[in-house]
Amino acid sequence: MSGKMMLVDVTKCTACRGCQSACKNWNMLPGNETSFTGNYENPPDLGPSTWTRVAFNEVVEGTTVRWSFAKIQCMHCDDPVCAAVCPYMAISKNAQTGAVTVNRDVCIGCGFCQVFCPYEIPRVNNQNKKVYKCTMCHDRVASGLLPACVQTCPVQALQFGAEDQLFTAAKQRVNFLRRNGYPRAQLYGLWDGKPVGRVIYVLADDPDRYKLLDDPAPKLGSYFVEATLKPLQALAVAGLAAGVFFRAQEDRTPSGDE
Amino acid sequence: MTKISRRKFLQLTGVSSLAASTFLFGGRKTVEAATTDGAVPLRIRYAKEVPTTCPYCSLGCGSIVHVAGGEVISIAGDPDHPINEGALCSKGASIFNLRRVYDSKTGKSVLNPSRVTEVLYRAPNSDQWKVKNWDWALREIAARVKKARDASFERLDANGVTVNRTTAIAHLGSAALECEENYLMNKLFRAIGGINMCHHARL
Amino acid sequence: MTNHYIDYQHSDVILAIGANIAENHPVAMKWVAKSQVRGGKFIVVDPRITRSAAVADMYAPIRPGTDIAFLGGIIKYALDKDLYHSEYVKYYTNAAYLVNPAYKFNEGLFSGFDSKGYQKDTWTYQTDAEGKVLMDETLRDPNCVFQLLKKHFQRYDAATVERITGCPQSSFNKVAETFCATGKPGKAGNICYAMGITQHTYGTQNVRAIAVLQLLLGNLGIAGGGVNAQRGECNVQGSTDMGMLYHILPGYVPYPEAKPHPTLAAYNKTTPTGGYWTNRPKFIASMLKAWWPDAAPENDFRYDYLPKLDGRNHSHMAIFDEMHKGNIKGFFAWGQNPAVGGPDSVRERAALAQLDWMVAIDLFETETAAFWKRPGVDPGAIKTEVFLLPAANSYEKEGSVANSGRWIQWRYKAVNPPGAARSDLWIADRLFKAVRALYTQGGVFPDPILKMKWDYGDAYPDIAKVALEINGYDAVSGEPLLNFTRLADNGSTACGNWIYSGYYNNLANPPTKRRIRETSGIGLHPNWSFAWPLNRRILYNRASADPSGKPYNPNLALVRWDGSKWLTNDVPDFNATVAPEVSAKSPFIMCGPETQARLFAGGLAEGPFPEHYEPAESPVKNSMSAQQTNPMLVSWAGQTLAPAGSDKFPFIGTTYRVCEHWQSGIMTRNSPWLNEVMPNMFVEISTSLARQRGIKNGDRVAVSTARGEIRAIACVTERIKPMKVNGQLVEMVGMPWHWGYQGMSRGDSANVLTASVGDANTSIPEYKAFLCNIRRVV
Repeated sequence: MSGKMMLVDVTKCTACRGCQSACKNWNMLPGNETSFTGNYENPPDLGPSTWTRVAFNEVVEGTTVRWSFAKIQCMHCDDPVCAAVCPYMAISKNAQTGAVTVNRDVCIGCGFCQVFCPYEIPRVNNQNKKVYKCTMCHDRVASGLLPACVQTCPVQALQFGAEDQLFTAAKQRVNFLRRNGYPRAQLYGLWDGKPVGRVIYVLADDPDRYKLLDDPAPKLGSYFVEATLKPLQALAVAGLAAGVFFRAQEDRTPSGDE
Repeated sequence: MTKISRRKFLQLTGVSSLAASTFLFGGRKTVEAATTDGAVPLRIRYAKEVPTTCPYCSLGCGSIVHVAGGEVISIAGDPDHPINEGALCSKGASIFNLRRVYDSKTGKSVLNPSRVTEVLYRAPNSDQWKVKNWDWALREIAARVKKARDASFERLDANGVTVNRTTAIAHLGSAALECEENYLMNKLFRAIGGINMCHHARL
Repeated sequence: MTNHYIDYQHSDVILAIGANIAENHPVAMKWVAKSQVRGGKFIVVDPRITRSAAVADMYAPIRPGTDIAFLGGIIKYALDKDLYHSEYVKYYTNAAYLVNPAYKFNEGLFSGFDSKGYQKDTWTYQTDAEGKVLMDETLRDPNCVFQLLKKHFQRYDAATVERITGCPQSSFNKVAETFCATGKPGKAGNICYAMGITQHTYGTQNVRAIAVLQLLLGNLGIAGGGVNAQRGECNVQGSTDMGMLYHILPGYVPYPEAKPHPTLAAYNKTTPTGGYWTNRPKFIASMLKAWWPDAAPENDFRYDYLPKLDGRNHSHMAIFDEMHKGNIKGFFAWGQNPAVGGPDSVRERAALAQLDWMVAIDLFETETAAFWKRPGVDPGAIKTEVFLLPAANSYEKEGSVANSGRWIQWRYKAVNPPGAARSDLWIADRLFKAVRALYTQGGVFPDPILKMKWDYGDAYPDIAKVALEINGYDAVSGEPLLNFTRLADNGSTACGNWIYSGYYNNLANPPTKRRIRETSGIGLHPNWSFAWPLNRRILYNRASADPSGKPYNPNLALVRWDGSKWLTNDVPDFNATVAPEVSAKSPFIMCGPETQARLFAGGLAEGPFPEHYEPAESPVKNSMSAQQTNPMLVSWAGQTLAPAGSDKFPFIGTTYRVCEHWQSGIMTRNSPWLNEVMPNMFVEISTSLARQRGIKNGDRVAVSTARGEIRAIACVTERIKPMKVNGQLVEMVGMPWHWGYQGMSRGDSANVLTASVGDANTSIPEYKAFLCNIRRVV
């Protein structure tokens, strides 16, 4: 689909983490208790009140040490798996903004979306049994404002704009990087050469160098199997199934982050 | 690991959508939903906008404080400001917390529980603060200033030069305070004859 | 800062040395990035790979405390390879001045050194019978500044740089070559620095080395260039401008001292004989008039009301030393938290117990306010009375703050402060009135208090009245002064701070409140707020054009002589009513009496040229000379230092800040959002030091120095490497200094480890280099 999208150019990011704070400020999210475990990166994972975070990566290549950073958030897929698997159709794609969002009036917190999302984005709040994730600040976007994270980024590592323009700019940037000492520079967030959703990345190296999931395919495989079972599960009373799934996923929600 | 092509991915997704929605709700017409996460009017729409300057580093980034019902509801970078053009770092984007925090249990905006909101006094050798009022505190502090000043005041130094000073009181000021505040603090401290004066610029 | 942050976009090369822009001035990276997009190069020189280094085009590691060696090497590189801007050097600096033939430099010491310190009488120029300085414009005389400079820095070759700094010659040469390319007319090189440069026992000379290099390359006074001090707090520029230091009055007017300045006449006799400072008598007379309205020539402008200095040091460390001795009875910690931020903080915390009373004024309960209940002490044994007054935060009050680029920007009040909290303006106003009320009933020499002008209203103090007083007004009519060119020394004008004159020169639309962005131009934004002095955005801008007035870079012209008059984009920093040949001889009007920039500066404590010394605590002997440390460094009795090459404390310790916390942390450690991203005190070490000490990433460690010991979490990282110094491998322990025993996030304070030794000129403590040890703890 055409429309607006976000470009994450990790090669410009300085990990000031203004995006993490700005997200909390706009979306009215509490801070969570964390601890320093030997790396600047925190919190260690997304959670119901952490919708975006910056991964820190220290890579040694010969005598060169590269410290690189990548912001992680919902990709706002154009055909979102999370929405597809939701038994209550609580997740939908907003036609105006392209954002994939959760209707928590309907959500029961079954966690299917969390299991099936190829990027491991949605998170269930264990207390109120609702799912939370990045909304692409679609309330702001619908009003002509930038998403909070994009507005706050000092170095334009985050950009938001017309898809065709940003996609072209991203490809040019990759070409520039390839010519200037980063032969493995690449785009991320594509399927068959096209953006999978509303977010694409410019990387200077392979995705695993940025703690980005190298290949979401295995998730999709499991999704395929589960999808065939899903109608049955849904039949067997959503609550029961949800409970089972939910418990299976509990250990993925960091304690304290609720 | 098998790569799944975009086409197949879309196919899979489409199939599942169909399966789930047909089964549960008898078919889905559109991907748009009635109410969604955050699909509420822009929450700062009717808020008052107050420009401020970030209290942290010395860039002088502009921020907009959004105020509704007499309370701050959001603070973000000022897109019209020439220095930061709407941008803020993690600290600058967190100055909401200098006053308000979102309670981790209820999610509600509450006064930052660490803010000092009373005049506090700790008596000699006491192990606790006592809440006092301003009038009492200002009177008591002024009395101590006068006592320390008068007991130590030098009109003339050893060479007979008029010096009108006291070294019994010290003032460490702050680089986070406004110019006008600093100016008044300077006048206040020099008026009583103080010369032990320093602030962050020397750290 | 000579320039301003937006101007970074115009730099062809940005050299960050002793500054970690991405972490401590993160939004400035916006303008660094814009320079990079244009093809500009961003160089980071730092002991570790920081978040700035992560996006730099070039990174060079150096050992903490070796900046003079590194910069001295670049100075030599520029001189040897003729990369300096010869026209600029000849016209705009004191390169041609002939120096006193008795001036000498030998074995790390300049001429005039004896047991009492330096006699500076040889650090002077040669003059003729009329007192006019002798010059050699060919720059060939062996006693001219240029030749002496060459000789001095000849010793800083690349091999020496490597031996001292630990920076491999290949990296050093790459940096030198890239940066010196900005010596070409029309190119702009920008050096930004911060506490990594100043927090040393020779911090001022570190800055001097930067200035000398920038002058040689013609990088001062031009867009995209500059000596850019990235200051640490939102208004540290403004608070310094307001004279919140013992040695200055508002506007950098030197503070009077009893012995040399017993009277105003004696004080005025010390007025510089050249440059704009010749107007100094107007500045002090107008300030005294603003403070004491009955000031007049007949009563010596109430000069006697100003307390006089006693010739001793009254800086932060000196104050705490006096406090420790029990000589200070009362103490105001007004928005400062020395229990975390001061050096040797165990000692500073102990000093607070010697006070009779303390008043802490802050948003939160600081470590200083709570020193009497800190871990490990018995409150019952501490006699100090403590008042903690609740203050308003930055958007709960209004007023102006000056950024590093000298932009005085107004910030507005959005909401009332919570509970009993009040603005510092209100607190200062009420406190003064409370003191004055007592003195109306008598007391020792109450005149300075009773006669002090203090008429800001009875309810909330009217900040516009304060601002007007700072700006200055006609003493008869009360009308605001346009700017400081209107000041007089006869009592007809009052002005609280001459350099701010013009910032609030009308009540309806004061320049400090202006918010109009420029729509074309080079980012000077002259109608956005007000930049002191006179709304000038780039200092020394005469030097952006050649002696005939032709801009070195026409695309970034600041001033231009069109043959009959000056065309200006910025407020000229020179007399723009006369022909260029005149101002070409005075491009640095504040640098009097020369009015040409000083490559050789005779007024500093430890010498006219920067020279490498080792930090007060160092793992190695000084390989430049037998003089191990700065002979003029300041320290106080009772300070324990580890000897050079100490076995007990074999590693370099250094402190710094992280993006997510600020200074002593009391504001940021009470932010749940920031604590989430940076929750605990940690120390960073190399993988080799970790192996050597059996420390794994995430382990608890103890770091100790001759002053104290702290606990922290280890961050074992590839971003720090041991450095080869004089053939010996040296390891480093790096740590942030944001933590303390109060607030939502608590941890040990790095300043427990640092020493009360400081810079010879400024008394800034040496936080950046000390000796320590580290071990794993359970």
